[in-house]
Amino acid sequence: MRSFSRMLVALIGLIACAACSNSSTSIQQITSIPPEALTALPTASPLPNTDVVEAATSAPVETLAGMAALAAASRQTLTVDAPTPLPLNTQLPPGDARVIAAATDTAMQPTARSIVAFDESVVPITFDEFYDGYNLRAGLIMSDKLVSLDGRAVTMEGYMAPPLKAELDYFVLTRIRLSFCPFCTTGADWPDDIALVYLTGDATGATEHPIRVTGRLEVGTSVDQETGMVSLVRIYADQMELLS
Amino acid sequence: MAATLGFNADGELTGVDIGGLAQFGILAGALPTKSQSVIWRGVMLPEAGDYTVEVTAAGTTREAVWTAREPMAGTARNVILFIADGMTVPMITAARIASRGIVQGTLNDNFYMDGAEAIGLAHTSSVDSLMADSANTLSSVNTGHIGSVNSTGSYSDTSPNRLDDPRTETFAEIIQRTRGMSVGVVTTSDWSDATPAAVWAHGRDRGDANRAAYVVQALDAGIDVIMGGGARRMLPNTAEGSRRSDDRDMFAEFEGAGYTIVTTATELDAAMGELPEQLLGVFTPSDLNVWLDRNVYTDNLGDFTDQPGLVDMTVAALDILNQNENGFYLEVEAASVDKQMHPLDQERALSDLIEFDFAVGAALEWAAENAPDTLIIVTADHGHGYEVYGTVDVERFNAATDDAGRIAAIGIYNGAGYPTYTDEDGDGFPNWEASRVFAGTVNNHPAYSEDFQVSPIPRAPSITNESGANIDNPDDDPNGLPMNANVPGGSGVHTLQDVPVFAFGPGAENIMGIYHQRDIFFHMAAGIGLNPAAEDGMISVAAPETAAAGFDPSLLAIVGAGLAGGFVIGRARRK
Repeated sequence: MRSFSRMLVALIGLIACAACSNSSTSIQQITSIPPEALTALPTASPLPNTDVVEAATSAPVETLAGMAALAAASRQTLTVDAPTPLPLNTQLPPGDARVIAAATDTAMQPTARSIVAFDESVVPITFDEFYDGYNLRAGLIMSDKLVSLDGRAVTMEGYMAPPLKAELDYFVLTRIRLSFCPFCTTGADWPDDIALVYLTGDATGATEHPIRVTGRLEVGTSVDQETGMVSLVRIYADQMELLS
Repeated sequence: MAATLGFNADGELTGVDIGGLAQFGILAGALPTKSQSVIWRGVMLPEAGDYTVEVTAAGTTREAVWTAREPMAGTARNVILFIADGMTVPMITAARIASRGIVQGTLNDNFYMDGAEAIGLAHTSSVDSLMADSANTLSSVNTGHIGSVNSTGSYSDTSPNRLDDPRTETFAEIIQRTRGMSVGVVTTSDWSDATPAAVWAHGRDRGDANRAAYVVQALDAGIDVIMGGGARRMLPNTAEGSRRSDDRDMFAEFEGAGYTIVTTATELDAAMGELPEQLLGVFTPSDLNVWLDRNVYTDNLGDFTDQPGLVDMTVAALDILNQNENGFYLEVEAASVDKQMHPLDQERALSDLIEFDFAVGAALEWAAENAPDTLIIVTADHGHGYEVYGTVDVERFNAATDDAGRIAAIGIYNGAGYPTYTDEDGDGFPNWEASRVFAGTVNNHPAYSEDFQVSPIPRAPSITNESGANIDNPDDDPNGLPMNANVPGGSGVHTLQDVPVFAFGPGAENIMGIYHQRDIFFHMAAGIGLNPAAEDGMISVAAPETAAAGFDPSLLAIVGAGLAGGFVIGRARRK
């Protein structure tokens, strides 16, 4: 099922980094969540849980435009069995990259060796809990906790990497503050322990302070249709909270 | 001899006079860009000498001279090229003192590289810039041609494809083709990184996508021994953490080609019991960890606690390569001298420089026992602006409550005294946690703070803030002296200086002098008496379009870059 062409992350470095030359953008997406409310949050994503593999009701989508149109029109689960069109860096309407990313998750079915049960409706997870290790001949080994949380509501803390441009649908959540702007530097390399955070709104702000993100977790390789950014772990965020 | 090309204001070719460059074949057409590309194939350069190409475009004339050199006699059979990435004389001075100790002005011992039979100085530069990077500098050393920043084994052109630029044949390719010699690379970086890749790779961009291609090129080129990090560029894109854009499992492909594959130091030891003909050792997903983390701050290793060091990798590579009676060429790189100078981490960089010198020592000992007919060259690709200017009283520095107090803890001139690094276990690596340490800094840096003391975790002196600006990382050296930024970006950068060149063994005498680092290519060729004209019809630097597929008779390519003028891409062959 993994028929996606992987666009290498550093290619993004070839794109001019708008955020690096502009001064600052306001934070539009931040809401404050009282800690007691976190445990009561439902899995509030407006999107369907795309990890439910349905019978292919729609024909395989061959083009990015087609995917975007379908995404915009139906907001339904897509079954995608076509290579990701390249090159990326197209201009999608705000929010569509998120919809497409959610749709492509249908192709990814990571399997936990041992399913972990969770008591919380919103499960806290940290970057240290993502991977059990790295098999040099096979790649990263995703932890049972990470895989078991696929499709579940989670909350996690980290830092926002400097965004590629202010109006992107997503930002990159990192374990530590980065010492470089991977989007700005050709050849710079993202660490492995990152999560792409897709926002529900149509704008992201930026902050150098730690943040807490709450939303639905999705696990498995996906290529952002707007930038080519490859991710293994995504959060479709409902809430973002500034911690400082 | 000269060739002249003319272009009009639209970039169209208007006139060609190739004069002494007799016998040309095909003129190939334009690229889908503003500029024009003219490629001659089948050109023969009849003899050694200077070849000049003039390109005129819209009234502007640019000239390039390409020199085919006479071969020299030499008696070495093997060549080992040691590269400490970013190494400079001030770093050697500091590492030597920290490693060997100094009493009343007298060193307790020397470095192995100090015993060189000849020493030279090499300029570094690029076609397109005053400054240089590891790709084009090591390409100069490996091909004899100066290239553009980020390019290797090629002359950068303007075509969209970053892998199809006109190629220059590498030293490794020439000796494989003419003598059937073996080739190896050992590095502490991702093995597809610029310095090792310069041995075999061709492309104008050292970035991610090309690196995945360089892995394939290494397999096609039949590089016999490869050791370093970089598993993620070998995994198919179906594997989590892969950095490939295709689904090729390069581990499987190398294995299928007959390589013995190892992923830990223990496996490397075991594999050496019965020497393999070809070996691929990949020990980490990206770069190897530095000596200081492999041996002292081992919490930083994560899952990869069984990595070999540079000494062990070097000796293993030599034993494997020496099975070929035709000889071998091995490039050994200490990558993290550079990779740790970028984040201004003097202890990690200098420790890897000490390890590098031990690898040089091991190779000298190995050559004395196994192959005295081995030319060993030790140099750097480019510099970094690191220097020691005194010492720091650590207790006083840390007790200071303001910057004036911190500055007062820095001893200069006779106030510096000596650092108090110790080496209780006698392994040649100092205990960097000392009461008086080097006041050593890199002269170009982002905004950051410096406390001169070893960091238990690899440094990140600067972070990127919400607007993309690089600011002091509050978690790095929080009690340090604040430094204002004097470079863009978040790290120190390469600096302009001649780098030292040390040589041992037959052919070492050629190293004496001051020259561009591309001459090291000719020094290596002279060391083994390479005479491609006699051996395989070559005058000098031949550049088949596809080295692995045998020699391509394409000989001279000239690219006129529109109004910017032109430059020559030369290749020569004498039948």
